[in-house]
Amino acid sequence: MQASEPVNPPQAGQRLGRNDRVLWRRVSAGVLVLGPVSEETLLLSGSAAVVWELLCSPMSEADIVGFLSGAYDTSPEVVGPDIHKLVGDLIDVQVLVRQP
Amino acid sequence: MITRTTDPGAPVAAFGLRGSGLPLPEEPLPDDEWAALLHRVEDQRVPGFLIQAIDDGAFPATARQSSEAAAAHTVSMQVALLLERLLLRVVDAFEAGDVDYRVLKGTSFANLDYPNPSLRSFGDIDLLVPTTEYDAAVRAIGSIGARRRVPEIRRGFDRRFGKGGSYVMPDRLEVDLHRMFVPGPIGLSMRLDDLFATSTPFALGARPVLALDRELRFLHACFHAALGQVSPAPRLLSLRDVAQMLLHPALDSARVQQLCTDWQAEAVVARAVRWAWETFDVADVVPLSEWARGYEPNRHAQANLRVYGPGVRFSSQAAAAIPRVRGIGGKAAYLWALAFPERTYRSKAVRSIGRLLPARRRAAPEGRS
Repeated sequence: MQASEPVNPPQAGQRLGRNDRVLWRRVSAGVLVLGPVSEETLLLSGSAAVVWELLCSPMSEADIVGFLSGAYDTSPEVVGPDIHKLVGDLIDVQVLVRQP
Repeated sequence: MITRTTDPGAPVAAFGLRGSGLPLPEEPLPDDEWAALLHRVEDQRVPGFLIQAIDDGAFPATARQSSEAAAAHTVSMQVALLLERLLLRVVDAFEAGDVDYRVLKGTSFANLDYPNPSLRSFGDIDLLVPTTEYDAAVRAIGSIGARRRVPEIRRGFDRRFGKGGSYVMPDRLEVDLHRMFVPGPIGLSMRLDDLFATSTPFALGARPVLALDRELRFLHACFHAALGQVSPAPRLLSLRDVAQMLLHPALDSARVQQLCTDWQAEAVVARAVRWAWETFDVADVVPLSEWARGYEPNRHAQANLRVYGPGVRFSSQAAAAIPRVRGIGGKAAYLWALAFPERTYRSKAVRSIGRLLPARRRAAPEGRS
């Protein structure tokens, strides 16, 4: 496996949510998060910040892709791979979790 | 009375405050004025209000200035998050040790008293614990690596007579453990049981933690603004806290005044409210601001306030507290501790003074020592 690929990619249709142990603040450039196992804060900017805001209520990756493709007027096929990678990375650092 | 109308940080610290008449600039500041303002904003811990004003279009700024303000705010929020995680560790340790607590100031004000916690910066965490559980609290934070910054004057002094102690973690983050709001005669006049009769929870992550209730938070904000760091002037953030809370419609003014009376703290609250109203040129009148405007402290209250003023020695403050120490035995123990502090305390105090000396010498004009 390449290092850049998420260790735990989300499964299709599975609902995702914020890890409620994450501490966070909104800042000018996005959302600053401190995950439960992180030594440092992480700045979520651009689409990552949008994903964080969307996940104030759990939703599936497909719903996230649908929202962002509509918001940015582009096709889900274009947005999908980037969001899949982003969501997987955020699950790896325990900022996002899979909902049961 | 203080007047801050020329303080460039005051209009920033007042941003969003109902009734404040301080104007923000109408165009981007020249570079030198901007640099001075940004320094002031960071020093006074109000970068959240600056970036909010810029983002709302109320404070015109160049792209570079916006970027610098955003960077200052982001740094302050990084610190806030690291401190909140430390707070959760401390609370876990307290709960494991069966220690009651209330979170004070910084993170509790940020999460409970401002519409957005990103507005309110803080530089350490402060926790209040009951006197009877003070030693257990010290053991609890010791179990997670906290160490005292300065040794106790004598063993048991903090628990019996002191405000509390300041602790530092291995990563240099600070935890202030409080038994009361302030040291000295005014602190010793507080009714400490009032502080634990109620609580207000708030969540960090999903974890509930306990803060003081609204009126007690307001009183603590007043104590901190009026008696804390008052030299050369109170921190703008402390005064904003006072105004922010006093203008909240849910604050129970009658209860605040009753607590003031019970704690003999009218002069403290009146001073803090007057300073906040003058600093931010607040036009709105609420019952407590009206009362504070007309309040005249008696000689006893004036004498108590003086020992918290700039340049007053610790010994003067300690001496003024003697009448408030209960019982002949208590007074004797208090005086004994002050007269004969333990060797570790003395040596630490001497080392601290020694570190200051070279800087003072360097600062002295030629030909003087």
